[in-house]
Amino acid sequence: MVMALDTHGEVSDDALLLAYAAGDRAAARELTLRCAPVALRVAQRMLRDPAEAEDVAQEAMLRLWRIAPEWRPGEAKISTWLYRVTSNLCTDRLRRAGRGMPLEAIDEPADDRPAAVAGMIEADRAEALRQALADLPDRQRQAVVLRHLEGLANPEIAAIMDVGVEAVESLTARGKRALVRALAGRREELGYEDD
Amino acid sequence: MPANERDDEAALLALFADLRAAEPLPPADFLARVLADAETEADLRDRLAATPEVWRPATARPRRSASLARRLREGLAGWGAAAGGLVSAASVGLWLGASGLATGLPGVGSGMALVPGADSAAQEFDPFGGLDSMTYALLEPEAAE
Repeated sequence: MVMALDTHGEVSDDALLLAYAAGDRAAARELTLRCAPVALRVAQRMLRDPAEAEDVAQEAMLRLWRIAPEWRPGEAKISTWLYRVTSNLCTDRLRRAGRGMPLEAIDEPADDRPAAVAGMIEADRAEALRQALADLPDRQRQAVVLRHLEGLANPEIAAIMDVGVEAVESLTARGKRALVRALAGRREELGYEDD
Repeated sequence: MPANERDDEAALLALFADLRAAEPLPPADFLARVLADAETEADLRDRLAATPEVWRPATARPRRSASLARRLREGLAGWGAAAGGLVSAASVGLWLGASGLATGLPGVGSGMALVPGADSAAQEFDPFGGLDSMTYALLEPEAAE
């Protein structure tokens, strides 16, 4: 079977999915290495609980395997489809859980030795951002994660979220303003005054 | 934009960059589970493909559009039903007309009084004809006294 190549000369995601649907198990391995980390990353950024993020990413990938025989190449990008499914699954989980934070997701008390301080500040920064992201409304969080953490362009985010580009711009801007407000009082605490 | 807001936004963008840089590698057991799901789904599809169609669950069967012969047959049946309806309606009309005539004929019962045109039979109908005196007294107490 001749597989279509993408612009970088690699076999495209579409071609791999079609190959998997035709019974090529090696294609599944390649797709897993390409797509599963993306799904997991998005889920981790939206959910905070690592175990729940893995569950969601696995579920999103399972849906990809199931849809493989019906996949129509060229109609949508697999990455777009995967972002959409993963972020929707995350939103469902957050709504069901009422945004509660599981105990196991809370970090252990930090080590106060000098060598650990830099690492602690780094971890605190990340944790502060995760906390502030978790407090955003669902759609704003989804837009901010896709734009600023996944680095996607607004048209692709619009396709993922099934809204117009202007709506994405508005959601992202409002989300950023809310994050700035939430983090404004913590700049010194998080070590940004020294940068 | 005021300077402090610019600083805040710059700090936020720095946070985004930190988080992007701190991206952990996916755990191996997670990738193994995803791959195992892919294998399981592929096995299920292979088994389904090897199963005779009659044993497959109804939901797994692809929908087909009706064949030309079937559509023709159903179309003709539809016209047949419509024609049958017309014949039935005509029959009822004939029966009603004939009933009107029939009320004037000897041997026709009072049931025909319900048919339009059978006024004379309706006038002869006495609703209290079969009642005994006690029932009549209950209906018209003053007359009974």
